[in-house]
Amino acid sequence: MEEDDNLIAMKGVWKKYGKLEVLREFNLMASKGQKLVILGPSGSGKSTVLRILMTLEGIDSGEVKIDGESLWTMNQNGIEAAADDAHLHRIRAKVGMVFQGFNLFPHMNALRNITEAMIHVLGVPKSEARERAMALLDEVGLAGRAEAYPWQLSGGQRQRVAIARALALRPKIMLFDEITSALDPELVGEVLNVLRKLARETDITMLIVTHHMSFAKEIADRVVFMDHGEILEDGRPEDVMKNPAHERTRKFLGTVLENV
Amino acid sequence: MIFDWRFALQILPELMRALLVTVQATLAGFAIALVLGMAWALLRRSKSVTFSRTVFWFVEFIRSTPLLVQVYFMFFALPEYGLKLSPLATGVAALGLHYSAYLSEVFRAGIEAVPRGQWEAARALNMSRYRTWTRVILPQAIPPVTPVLGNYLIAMFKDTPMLAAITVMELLQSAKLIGAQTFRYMEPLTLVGLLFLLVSLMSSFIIRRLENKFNTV
Repeated sequence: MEEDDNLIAMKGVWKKYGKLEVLREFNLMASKGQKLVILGPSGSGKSTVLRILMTLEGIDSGEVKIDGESLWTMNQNGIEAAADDAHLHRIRAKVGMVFQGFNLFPHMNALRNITEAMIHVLGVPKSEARERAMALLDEVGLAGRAEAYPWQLSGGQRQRVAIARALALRPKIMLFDEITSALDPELVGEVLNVLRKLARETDITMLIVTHHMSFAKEIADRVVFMDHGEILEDGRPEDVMKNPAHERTRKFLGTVLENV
Repeated sequence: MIFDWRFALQILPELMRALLVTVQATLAGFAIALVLGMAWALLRRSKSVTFSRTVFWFVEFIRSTPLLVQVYFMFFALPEYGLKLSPLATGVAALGLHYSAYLSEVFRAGIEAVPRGQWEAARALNMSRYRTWTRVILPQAIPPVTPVLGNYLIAMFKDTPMLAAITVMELLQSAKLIGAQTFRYMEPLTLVGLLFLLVSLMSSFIIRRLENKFNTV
């Protein structure tokens, strides 16, 4: 596969928090439309991978490319320079993210949470933004809750608004960072259903960090298993889950499967 | 000496005019304090360490020196450098500057109380720095600290008699003048106290209402 076919290309990425090495010589490629599930114990660095792609974290060394363009550096009159705000802004437009803690804006209702960036970042006219937001709310099964504020919504509903909010900017890549971990068990299903639909009906490249094994198996066309900042397994879901190459993967799958 | 009610009634209109000056000075001073206080709070978050340190020490300096000294300094020392303002303008500026130091701490606390996830969501939505501040962070940072701001407003109101020191015709100065002309101090000063009490109580009441409003949301 040509390198430029990869929507995401992380090469030799090092990331440290103080002395702790979170990513070590980390490589990850993902092609357009891929539904990639990242598994791994907590502290394995899987959330960090997503946070780097969303520019919430910088890197210590290595290279990150999104849609063929370097994320943290840019070409300035033929010289490689640190990325400026405009460069980051342009590349970030291709990526959307949904967080474990929803992070909805508490002072805006569901509709405004979705239209805010549409209007003020993309410059979509208000009436059109409103229409698109209503359609998105309908997609995630919340057509009647446009006026509701986050505190009036259940966790599952909030997370579905957050998904709609990220989708509203029409990103090529969507990052899902343990989006069901803060939810009561009975609310997990409604959120995963939205992801299923997204995976089925769109060609958005999805990177999903989750602990739901059966869901991962069902939705992913590729699974990677991370531990201590490195990828140990990478392949089709049934191969990684049934015949992992590493003892650590087997151990992890064992504990997680027991808990489901 | 007996409290002379008729005399008190007679001087009330003059004191009410002085009260108006006092309230105006407070409101103008507070407006300056709000703007400067927010500016300090934002500048202290500057990426340049030298810059944010400088702002920190400047604010600390203003906060740790007496208001009366600052008032005198601005009234007597600054004109030597060509900056000559009316007594009222000088007083308002001094009040505003002094209280901006306190308010910057209040704003800082409010800003820091906004969860990190809000910043991250704004960045994930590709919002500009300006939009992030004006639409996401400040609308969440300011409402919870409004009651504290209100308390500083009352404190500033009670500090306006300092301006008497530079001849501003506020309540205390006005009462002193009446006293000097009539040799009666009991009535004007009592009225000054009562007027301060009245306005402060009304303000506290409004602030408590605000507090309740923000607690319920």
